[in-house]
Amino acid sequence: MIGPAARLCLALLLAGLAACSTHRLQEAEAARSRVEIARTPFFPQTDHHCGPAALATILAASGADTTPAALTNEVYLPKRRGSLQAELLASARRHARVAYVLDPSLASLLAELERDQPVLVLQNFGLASLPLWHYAVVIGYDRERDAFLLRSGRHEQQQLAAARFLGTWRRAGNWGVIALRPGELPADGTALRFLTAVDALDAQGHHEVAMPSYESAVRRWPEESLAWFALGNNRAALGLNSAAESAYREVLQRDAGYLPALNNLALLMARRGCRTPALEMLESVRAEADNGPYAAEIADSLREIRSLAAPAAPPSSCP
Amino acid sequence: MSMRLGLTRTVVGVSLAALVATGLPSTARAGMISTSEAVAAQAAPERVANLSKVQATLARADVRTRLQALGVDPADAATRAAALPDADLARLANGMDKLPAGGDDSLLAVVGIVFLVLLLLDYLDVIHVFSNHRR
Repeated sequence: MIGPAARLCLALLLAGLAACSTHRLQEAEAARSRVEIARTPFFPQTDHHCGPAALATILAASGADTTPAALTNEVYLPKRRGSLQAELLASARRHARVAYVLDPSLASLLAELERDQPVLVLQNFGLASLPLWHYAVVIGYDRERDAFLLRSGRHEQQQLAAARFLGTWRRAGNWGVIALRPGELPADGTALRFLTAVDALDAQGHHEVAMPSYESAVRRWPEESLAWFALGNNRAALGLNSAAESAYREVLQRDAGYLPALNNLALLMARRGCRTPALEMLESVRAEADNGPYAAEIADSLREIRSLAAPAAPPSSCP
Repeated sequence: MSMRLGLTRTVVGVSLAALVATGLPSTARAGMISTSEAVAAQAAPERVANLSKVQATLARADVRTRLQALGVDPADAATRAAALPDADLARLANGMDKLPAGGDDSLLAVVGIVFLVLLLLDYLDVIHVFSNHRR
């Protein structure tokens, strides 16, 4: 029989082994021996302003002209003595950047660092149940020393043991964000993740700023219906209706039953006089759409199209 | 320097609700399906399906009449439904599946509507009849 003391030792030993096997940068397949994005600017934080300082760091690194002092009003909540993640993202968008939240994995973090993209991270230096939050910017790693390099607080170059950093990062949900310039793509991740980030910028009213990012998305993910659909919506929002129609048609060539593209294409067609083909398109999918998430919109579109006066002579360009 | 915040979940919940809400048919660009809505449908298809089922029920004339008689604004109820956590929304949508479709005056249908309205109000935190699943 094993005594309590012996069992405790065993538990600690196993925990230690687990820590070694997951925390070593070498085993995480860090591609380079050392990465340090030295051009990343440094803004030493004042008081509790780690949010504005970290945000200014990644924004300035991406070429935006800003400082922590200029951002404090946008993201700092005096009563909470801190900043909320959602506000950091919204503020980055106000500076015409796509605030892209990384896939919460070490592989994605390393991939961004290896192409010289500094990453704003949330860390928890407390416990899961009694958190002590902190924002910092990871600017590289050192594989031999098994450490991450950060701009953090008042430290221009903080070297944090990989196990320590990854522990604080994991307790914050492995949350990391990068500021992408219009048209710039992340190192990895899915089309859905990228389009979510671009749409958030677009939805804040920055249609023109978002456009190059949608164009990059269809180049990287040409088979992705959502990417073409999003590009079509962006063009429609900018009043480029004929270009929007072509983007919707790209979707339908790949996936003839993609309801959002059918609906929006039919509306644009009907509004320029092609009422009959638009009605036919929607009538043909109505039954299929009926119990799905787009049933209400498709019913609305049918009503709108039917209420449009039939043109004396439909334009010759109707398909 | 550090700070405390325990609002991550709330923020995520509120943004998801906003995301879903912006895609609802009553938005400014009438009829056009927004990218946010398509993104939400692809990211959380079950949630979107459940929400559209609940919203369709809230749009039924018999249900709206009953809600208004109880002093509940149907539009307010729809907003609350969009903010429900995934699990509650799924249970609510599941409860609706088991009810008669409505449209006839049989006793069963009337009982069904009353049950439906009570179920809605319970989940939307207006009254608590069936459960103490919160607070």
